[in-house]
Amino acid sequence: MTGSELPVGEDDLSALVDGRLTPERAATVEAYLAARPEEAARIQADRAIRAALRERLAPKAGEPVPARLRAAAVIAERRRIRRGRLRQALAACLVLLAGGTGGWFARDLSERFWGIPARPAPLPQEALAAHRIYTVEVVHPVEVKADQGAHLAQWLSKRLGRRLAIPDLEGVGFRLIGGRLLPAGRSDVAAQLMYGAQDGSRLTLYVRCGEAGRWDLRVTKQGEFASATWATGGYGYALSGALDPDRLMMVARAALSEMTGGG
Amino acid sequence: MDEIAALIEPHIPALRRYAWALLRDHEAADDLVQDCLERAVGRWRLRRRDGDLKAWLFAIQHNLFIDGLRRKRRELLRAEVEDLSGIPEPGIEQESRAAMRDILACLDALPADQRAVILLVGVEDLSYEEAARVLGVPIGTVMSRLSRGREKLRRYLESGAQPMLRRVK
Repeated sequence: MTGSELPVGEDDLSALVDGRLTPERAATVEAYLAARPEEAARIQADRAIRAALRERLAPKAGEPVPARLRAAAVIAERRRIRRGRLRQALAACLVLLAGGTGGWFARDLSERFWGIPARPAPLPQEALAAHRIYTVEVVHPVEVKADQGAHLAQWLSKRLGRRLAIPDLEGVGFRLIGGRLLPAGRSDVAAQLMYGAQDGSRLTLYVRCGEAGRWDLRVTKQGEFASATWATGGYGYALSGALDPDRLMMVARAALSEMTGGG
Repeated sequence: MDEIAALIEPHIPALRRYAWALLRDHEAADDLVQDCLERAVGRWRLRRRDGDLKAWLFAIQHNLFIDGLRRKRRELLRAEVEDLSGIPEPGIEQESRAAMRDILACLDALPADQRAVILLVGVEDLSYEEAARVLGVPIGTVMSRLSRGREKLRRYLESGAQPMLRRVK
């Protein structure tokens, strides 16, 4: 009976009202009140008020929750807003990127007149190897799924050391599935974004850091696969899939156009 | 994501009740809950894994409520010059006497910090420790606000005394 040794205090009385005392302590406090009718009446009143307040407010918690306050609705709405914001930010980012090379559609000119070397790169081979490995995956095609769009972009951007744009290719029939991180070369990293079409065909956008070259959009074929690649600012990009080169080039242009804010 | 929804969902009715008890306006209360849920989802990764989810949600909502109160007070301060004459003196209107019988009207008359403690502990069943965490005050402060608040409620109800209305509409 250690509880009975402590003198009864205001906190005991509050805890009695709230029913938070151990049975032993409650007995001690009740015994204390038995000798003090005035204080006992006060506690009785507090209990009654507490009960009345609970009763008065109970219907509010019993009401059906409005649709806008369902947790799932709040999460979905937040995701939608963030995706929109992300796209805007990435589009702005891409404008800068493309602007640095004088715009995409000037690339042939730049190659011809300014002599930007059209050097062969191992990028298509590397991107296609990654493409072949992961597009056949059914259970784990990606590490992070598209529904975590903001997280995916943040994570890959952090590991790549640059803000990675995630182009929206739904307009040309490819929906983002998600992405993963891959090793590149000896010490570099690459990101792979995977897209899927309605007919099950898949497309990957491979982004590699540590790219020494710089070149404009071109297509490399390898068997049934093709890879549209470009490189700028130390990063190499490869859009790969089992598509014919013309279609792939069309998708690549659509992607770039979409990423640069449409145009 | 579905897991987050499943964890948050059971607390929403209590968050709505707390918001309504504080604001006494259904729309404004649900707006507060929505802000709270949005913030909770946005900061999901920042919460302490071992922490009490209920207390965490109530803390977010309470802070948003306090922010709103500060904003309103500033607005009221600006509006005061022109509007004060329009506010009736307490006790002048006949119906206000009947309103005093309502326990919520008495609750409204308490200072916001005492009201919050009485609701969190007495209605939402938070422990004294959890209430202290939600309000960001020591537990001793929770205990003293609780007994002071209850004392006032008792006086209002027993004597029918006119509590000074403090509610910020």
